[in-house]
Amino acid sequence: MSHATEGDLHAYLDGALSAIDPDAAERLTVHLARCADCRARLERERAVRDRSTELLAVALPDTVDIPPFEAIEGAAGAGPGRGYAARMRHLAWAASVAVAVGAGWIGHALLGGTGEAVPGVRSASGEVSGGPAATADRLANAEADVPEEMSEARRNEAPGGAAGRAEGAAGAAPRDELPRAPAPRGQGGAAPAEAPHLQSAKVEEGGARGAAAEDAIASGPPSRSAQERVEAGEADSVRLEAEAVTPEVLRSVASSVVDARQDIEARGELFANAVWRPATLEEAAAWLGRPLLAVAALDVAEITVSEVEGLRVVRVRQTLPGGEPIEIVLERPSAAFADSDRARAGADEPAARSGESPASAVGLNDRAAGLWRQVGRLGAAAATPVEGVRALIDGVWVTVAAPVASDSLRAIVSRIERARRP
Amino acid sequence: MSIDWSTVYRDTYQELHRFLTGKVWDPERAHDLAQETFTRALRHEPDNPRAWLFSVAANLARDEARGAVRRRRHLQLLKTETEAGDPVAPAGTARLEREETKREVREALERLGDRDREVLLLWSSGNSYREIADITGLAVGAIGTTLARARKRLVDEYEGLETDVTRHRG
Repeated sequence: MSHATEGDLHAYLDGALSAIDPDAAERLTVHLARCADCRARLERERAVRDRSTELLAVALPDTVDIPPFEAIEGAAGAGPGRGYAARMRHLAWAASVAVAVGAGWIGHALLGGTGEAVPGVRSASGEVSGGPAATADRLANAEADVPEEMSEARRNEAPGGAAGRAEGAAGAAPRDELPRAPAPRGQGGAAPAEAPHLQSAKVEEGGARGAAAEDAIASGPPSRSAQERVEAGEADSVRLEAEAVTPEVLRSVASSVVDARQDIEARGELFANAVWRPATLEEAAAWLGRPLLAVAALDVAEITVSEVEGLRVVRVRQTLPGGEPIEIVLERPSAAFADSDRARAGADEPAARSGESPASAVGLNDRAAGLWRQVGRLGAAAATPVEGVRALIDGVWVTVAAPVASDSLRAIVSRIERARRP
Repeated sequence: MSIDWSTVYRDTYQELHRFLTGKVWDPERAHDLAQETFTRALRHEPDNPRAWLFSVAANLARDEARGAVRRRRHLQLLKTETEAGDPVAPAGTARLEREETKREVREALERLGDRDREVLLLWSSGNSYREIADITGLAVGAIGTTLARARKRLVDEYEGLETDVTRHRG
């Protein structure tokens, strides 16, 4: 045979040549026995190989503590008897429920308040797209992303109409049990400065509005924009219900909370340049493909969705009892990660990923900047540093940022629950 | 085909973490990404777990590491490490030297082409030639050539950095 190539020699040294092509390995062995040049080259390549292995051993960790598998399993919802399909069926049920259930005032105590129960928080959210052009696409995409079970549940539900759903909802949790409506936020309560117009919904209207939102999903794009509805005083009411979270989920939270301030600062640009579209709670959950997560018992000021760097992202803005805005960004893989082949294709052609072109084409969206941009600004001023933590909760990466002490923020994170329309 | 994911997890986590550390140079972040990768795997239950895990991890790391944002973070990380060192360790200890070596190896690795670095990290994380081919899409016959080039470049770049440091100190 002719002289061996460097590639052959490395494959030979790695023991790979005999695994890939035993005949070639045998021929090379015979050749090396006869060819002094190749033997010398083999030794040179061996030295290079050994040296590179030595260097990599210095730079890369050899052994690390392996987090408990149960945490991953819990996060993925893959525990025994809780497969993906089962979880999606559960989601379908959750998505169809429009029941108001009061939740305690947790954040107040967490942040050093009196801890006194102040029931009945309310908030408003844009129910439909911010623009007619985006509406059809967004709803179509959201629907397309919903697992079949959920879509079917919606279809089955559609003929009942809003009244039927409201009735069913009342059966699950009588409206008599609803908490009293609090004083309107506009009378002194604080809310994100960027969305003052989202503060007028009344809690009594929650059930009916929730049913209306169900209609919006079941019957297609609504005719009026969220802005129009808000301005007309018809803002949808969204309140979070603390749904039971499994022990697996709680374990996964405990094991995964990490400081994310640096991460937030680094990714602020990405988020600031993304295009965010208003969404209802259900639409956002469908976009995420997972139950929406938010801090239980706090207002939801705004829910928006975007695709950032190929990842589907939902941003939930809430307001802490002290009036500080808190921003929760939920991320899960986009369809690009649906299977390994497509993931690999995405690896080779990052420019083709859908997250890039819309953002760069549209440019900076003022509403998109939000707290992510404030992180840098407030951080520079050093008056109210924005802390950030990141955790894997319920299979979703959750990044939480707020201008509060890091201990408080971690306590808040422990109160993050699945959110659903009451 | 039924896959025992707890076994896959136990057998692969360390290697995946090592691979990711070589991609993002932040062990804690590598933990995050490794866990995220496994979370996704449990949902998708791919037939070829190892190739899937490393493919998705590479994608996650790529997202993490893309663009100027990542370069700034990396530089900051290196700067912080260099400045901070280990304040309780006396100067000139083996630990400090090891940290310096580590920093130089990272820098040398960063100078490799993306494909070469990826293949080298995949090999270093316990993948066979066939597995590397599966993950990267390269022909299995090209892995040896790629590794030969990557290893030589790594050693050359590292030695170059060492020479620079020696000359600077001298």
